[in-house]
Amino acid sequence: MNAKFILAVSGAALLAPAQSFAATTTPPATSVQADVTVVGRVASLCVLGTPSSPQIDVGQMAATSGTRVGKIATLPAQSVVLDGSFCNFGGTMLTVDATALTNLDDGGVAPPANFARAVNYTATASNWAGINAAATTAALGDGSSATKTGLGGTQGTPKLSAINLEVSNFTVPTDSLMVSGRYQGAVRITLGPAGVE
Amino acid sequence: MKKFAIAAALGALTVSMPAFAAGEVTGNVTVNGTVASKCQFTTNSATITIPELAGTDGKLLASTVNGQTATLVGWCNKSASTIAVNATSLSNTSVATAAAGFARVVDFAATAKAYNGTALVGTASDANSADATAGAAGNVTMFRGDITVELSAAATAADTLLTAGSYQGNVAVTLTPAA
Repeated sequence: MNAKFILAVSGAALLAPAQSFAATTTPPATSVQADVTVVGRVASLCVLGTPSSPQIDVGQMAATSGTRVGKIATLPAQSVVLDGSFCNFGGTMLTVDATALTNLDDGGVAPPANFARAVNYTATASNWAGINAAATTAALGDGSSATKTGLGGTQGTPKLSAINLEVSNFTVPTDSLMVSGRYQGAVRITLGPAGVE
Repeated sequence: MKKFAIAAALGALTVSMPAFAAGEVTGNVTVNGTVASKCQFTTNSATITIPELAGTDGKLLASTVNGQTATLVGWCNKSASTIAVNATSLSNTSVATAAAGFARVVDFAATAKAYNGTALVGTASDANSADATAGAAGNVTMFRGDITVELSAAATAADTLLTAGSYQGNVAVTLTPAA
């Protein structure tokens, strides 16, 4: 009986240090991680490319001979390209504001009957959305009511494009005879968020 | 009864003392301890904010990213521990795909430098934020101090415009204790 008891105690004594040793064993090294969050922003931006030509010169507009002498001749369409135009966000549109050509040299004086001092035309800006922006001026013979505005369709996604502006369909109110002199009109193209004019 | 019992016990001790005087014996208790190899961050997050990534031409303005820094704080208690960096590109959080001619991702490189006080004790970089893997780990000696993170080499796909919106990326810094 005693011998067994002593052995049992000895066994416990042997086990105890073993358990203690296990408790102090170095655990496996573990990695730790930290994070630097990087946040940034890109503002909504629309840019029109530089026009391929700063101006359109249609030259002599009146016929100088034939049945239409003194009246507007058949003028070819003219184009200007704005390459590299873009918006970096969706929901954008083109707007065209066209102002009829009016006489620069007559002092703005209303012309006599059968004469006009204005030339109307159609300006169309294309290659942006499904619907082009187009405006046809409707100036009167005296040059009043010279500006018209046309809105294009909505471009749903960011787009990089060469916008094409065509000026065509030159006419004179009531096909009147044209007052001589220099004429000047203007086309303004606006590219921006749809619904903002 | 209790007092008697104590007195008897003392008496027994007194009687037995001369037996020890014949030769001293010593018992030793050994005290062992270990300190595991560890690394820890005491500041484990930071944010770099870039107000505008694009220039007036709509393309990435790399200088807005390059040179941006943030500071973490940490320590490792054993030399030959390592530091590693895994950069994740900035990407547009609201646009899943980019239109033709546009990008929605800005890649960059990131470098982490660990300091013990003012002494540089280790560095690591990740030159490719487009992959999901960390750059090569670097050794660090025992240290306690700042870990600076710096961004560089920002780039997008060639000649692309950046899609408008908010962008988010990440730089994960990992400290691994020496074995």
